[in-house]
Amino acid sequence: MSSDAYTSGRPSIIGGRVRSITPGFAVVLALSIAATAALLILALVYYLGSSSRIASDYASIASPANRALSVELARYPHIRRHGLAAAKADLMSEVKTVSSFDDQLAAITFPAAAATAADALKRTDQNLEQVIELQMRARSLRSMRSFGGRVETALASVKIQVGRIRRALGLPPSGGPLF
Amino acid sequence: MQFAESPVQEGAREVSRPDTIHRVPYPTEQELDLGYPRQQQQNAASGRKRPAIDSWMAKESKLLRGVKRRKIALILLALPAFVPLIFTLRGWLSLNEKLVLTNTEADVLGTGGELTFLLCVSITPLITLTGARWFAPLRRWYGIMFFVIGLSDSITASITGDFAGGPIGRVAGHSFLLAGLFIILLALPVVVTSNGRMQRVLGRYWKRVQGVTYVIWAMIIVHLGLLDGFKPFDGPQGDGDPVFHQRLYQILAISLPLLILRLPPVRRWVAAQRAAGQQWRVWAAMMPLFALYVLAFAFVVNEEIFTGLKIITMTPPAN
Repeated sequence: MSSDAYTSGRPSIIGGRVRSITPGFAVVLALSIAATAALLILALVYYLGSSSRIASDYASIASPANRALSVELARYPHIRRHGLAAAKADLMSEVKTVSSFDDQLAAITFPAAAATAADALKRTDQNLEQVIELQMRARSLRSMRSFGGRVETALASVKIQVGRIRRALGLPPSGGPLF
Repeated sequence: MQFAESPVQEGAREVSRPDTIHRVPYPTEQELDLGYPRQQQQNAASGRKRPAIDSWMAKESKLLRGVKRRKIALILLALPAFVPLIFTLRGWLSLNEKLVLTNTEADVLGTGGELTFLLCVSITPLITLTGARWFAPLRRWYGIMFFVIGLSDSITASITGDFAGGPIGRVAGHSFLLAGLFIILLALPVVVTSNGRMQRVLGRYWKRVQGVTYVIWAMIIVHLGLLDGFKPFDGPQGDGDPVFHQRLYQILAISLPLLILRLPPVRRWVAAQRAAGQQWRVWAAMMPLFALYVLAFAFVVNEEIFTGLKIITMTPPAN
């Protein structure tokens, strides 16, 4: 901006008094009103977007948990062949993944319909964790395998609740192994 | 608007600062540091005062003896310019392991370049608003760093990008890429001439060369418009508020107050209010525009940190 342009036009100070309405003030005022309108629209967008934001929050915790569980579940049959200790370590990581998901789930404030499903999901997750912990205490691989049915049942319960919560949040069915 | 200060012309310069409406002798760097003796005389004559913050900044630091507060503050405020490069460093050193540069580099360096440019062009409006000038050198610094980051982005993208057409196709194979390439090419003469020697060499043409910054600004908006379009987008990794992440809207929200504060009538009004001791009116009137600026800037910074951490932790998103 050149000073020629800057110094041209009518002075803003007349007789020691600042003119109340100058072109500069008018421009700022008009655009400030427009900016206020834009901010109000953004606030409205933010408020109306709360359900999709909650759905996004759920997806953001479910995706990494699903990724971790995919790896853990896929390697479990192979690890089992390497002995009891390796199988227990793998089960431990599964419990940690589910537990971590539950902790993050608790931090999300769900709307009424999804909140009921979320509470039920937490309970079924805890049941799944208990079954896996019991499985971890097995003294042999054979005994560990005998828990297969109970684990499957617990997983099925979790999947039902996941389906409910996803429907309530308007999310598509889970593409991952569990959440 | 320019990356560097205006040229000295026969002992005087065209001053487009709101607090120095008329032609005044150009204060040298020494004068700036020693308390503007020549400017002080003028200010005394015209009834204007040097902003208190400038005087405070010109004093020696109590913490580091022999170093001026201004220098310490400028160094600290200059450091954020390195953040995009630090984020990307691990990707460069790992030679694009896990395709971390292919998937994330453009976001980190692109957003970093955008941030440094916006900081560069924020300095003049900040001077207009506050009357303080101690932070004016940051304009040149962020302008240069904008070019460095943008050039790093272009070179890295030409090597690691996944667009067809070889190195040329990776930096010019799409309309938004071509716009980005133009930005870097346009920034080159501006950066090369943003020093005192080139000011003297180019004389009255220097300001015109520096004026190319406005074209760069427009090209950045075009680049982001072509990249993101007008329609908000979101994905499974989004946070449910896609409109806030739209780069075109962000830069428009940031640019609006910066451009308004460059309009001569607005500058005159701001200067008049300050001269009358009613600067609060300026702040009050500009508040919604500031809010929009800060909101948009926060999302650009968020984008930089979010994607930067993906490189530094080597966890690029699946593209």
